[in-house]
Amino acid sequence: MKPESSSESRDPEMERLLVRALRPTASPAFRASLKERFLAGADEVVAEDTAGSAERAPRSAAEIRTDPRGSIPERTRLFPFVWPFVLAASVAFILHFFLTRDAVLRWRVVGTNGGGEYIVDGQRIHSSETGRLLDAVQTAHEIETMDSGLRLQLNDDLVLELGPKTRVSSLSFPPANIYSIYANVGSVRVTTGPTFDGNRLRVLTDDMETAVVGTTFGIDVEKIGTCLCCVAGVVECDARDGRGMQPTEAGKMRFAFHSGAKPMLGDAVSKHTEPLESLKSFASALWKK
Amino acid sequence: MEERDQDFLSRLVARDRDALGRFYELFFDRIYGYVRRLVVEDHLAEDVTQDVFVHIHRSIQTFDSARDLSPWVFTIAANKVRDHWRSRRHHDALRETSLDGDDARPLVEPVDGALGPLFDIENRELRATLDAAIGELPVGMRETLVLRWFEELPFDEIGRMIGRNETAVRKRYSRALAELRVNLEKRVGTVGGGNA
Repeated sequence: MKPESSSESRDPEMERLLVRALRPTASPAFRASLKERFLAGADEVVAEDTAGSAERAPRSAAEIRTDPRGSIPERTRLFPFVWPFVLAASVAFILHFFLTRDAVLRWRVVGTNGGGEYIVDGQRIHSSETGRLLDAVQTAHEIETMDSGLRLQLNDDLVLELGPKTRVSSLSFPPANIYSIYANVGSVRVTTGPTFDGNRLRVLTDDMETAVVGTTFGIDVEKIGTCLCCVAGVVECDARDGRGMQPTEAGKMRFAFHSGAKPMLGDAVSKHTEPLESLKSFASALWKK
Repeated sequence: MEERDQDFLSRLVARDRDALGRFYELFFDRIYGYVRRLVVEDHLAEDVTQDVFVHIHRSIQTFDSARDLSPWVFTIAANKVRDHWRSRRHHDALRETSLDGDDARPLVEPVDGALGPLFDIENRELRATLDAAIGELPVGMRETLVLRWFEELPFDEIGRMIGRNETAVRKRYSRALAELRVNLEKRVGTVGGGNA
């Protein structure tokens, strides 16, 4: 059993009890007979592979299309004709990429908080691999930070900061539409910039949805719920309590519980506002230049 | 770990008989246990387990040996269980919907904070009680509990298998434990006699 599972669970006592539960077992007769058939299948495959293609039973066209062995002759026949087109397309793509690269870059990596690794759409990238990281974030759908945070600037629209041990998914930042991002775990901080179009960003978690008019705010997805702290402007927040969007103003905090308990409204938490103030100062300096 | 032994994995992909035999010994109990927890009846569990091994045999060549074996195997098993539910849709419509509908259920609150008399029940009795209580969980919760607790798969892998994000899987796992606690506490009075 997993030794670390107690810390992941909210009910370690139950997990201790589960240690006593046993895995259901099959009858020995079934176990033995299935093994025999499973291994006999292996023998058939070996026999078929060594018998040669001429002795194989005819296969359907669909099988031939999906079977790599069946498709080799066709690929071989087409190879001399396909190759020049592949080459030309590759050259065109490379030229297009380098000529238009700067024009299409929308995101910039503006901080990596001391270095470390990130996982962008499944690729593990070290902060020192700046070109690779920059390319990956342009089209990223999912970003996970490990021990260090990551600051990203989207044109002059906003700066997005991901705290350490944070995972965001479903990133969608279309040029002329609503931006949205899903915070799975950790800290997501945003400060909007001079060209940010009001009410254009949605940040979602399991517990709440926020619509951002223009502000500096942070979302912290914690074990028991989601905390929203706002340090500038106003954030509209639906804490899924049936009241719809409610404003959370600068200096205020709204906490939505996983359990569905009534959301809590109070003063912003200093643990969350300090990195937000730092982000705000960073962005101000960035856009004053 | 044998599951990460590249030589073993390469021979497995090549359908080497010895490697398949080792694979069978490594996974048979785990797959049967998983399937049996979900389909409840022994003969159905045998049918589905057989389907799983037939499928594995046919598709092992497509397995990418750079990846972990367990999630690949359990994805096949999970799909076979789903196929089974679908084939019995007219009999088991409720179970079918509960596979994905558990998360809409309200979070159950434990009757009591402590398990108390549960710990006093004899082991054999306790196992039977636990099995029954696990069997009463909605299928989706049971699936998550089995994959996480018994099969030790990471939350993110389970999420990929069942089409949920990691947070949702963690939440479902916690709900499964909470509901299991309630199921157990309901049974303790009749099984253990409340000898706290």
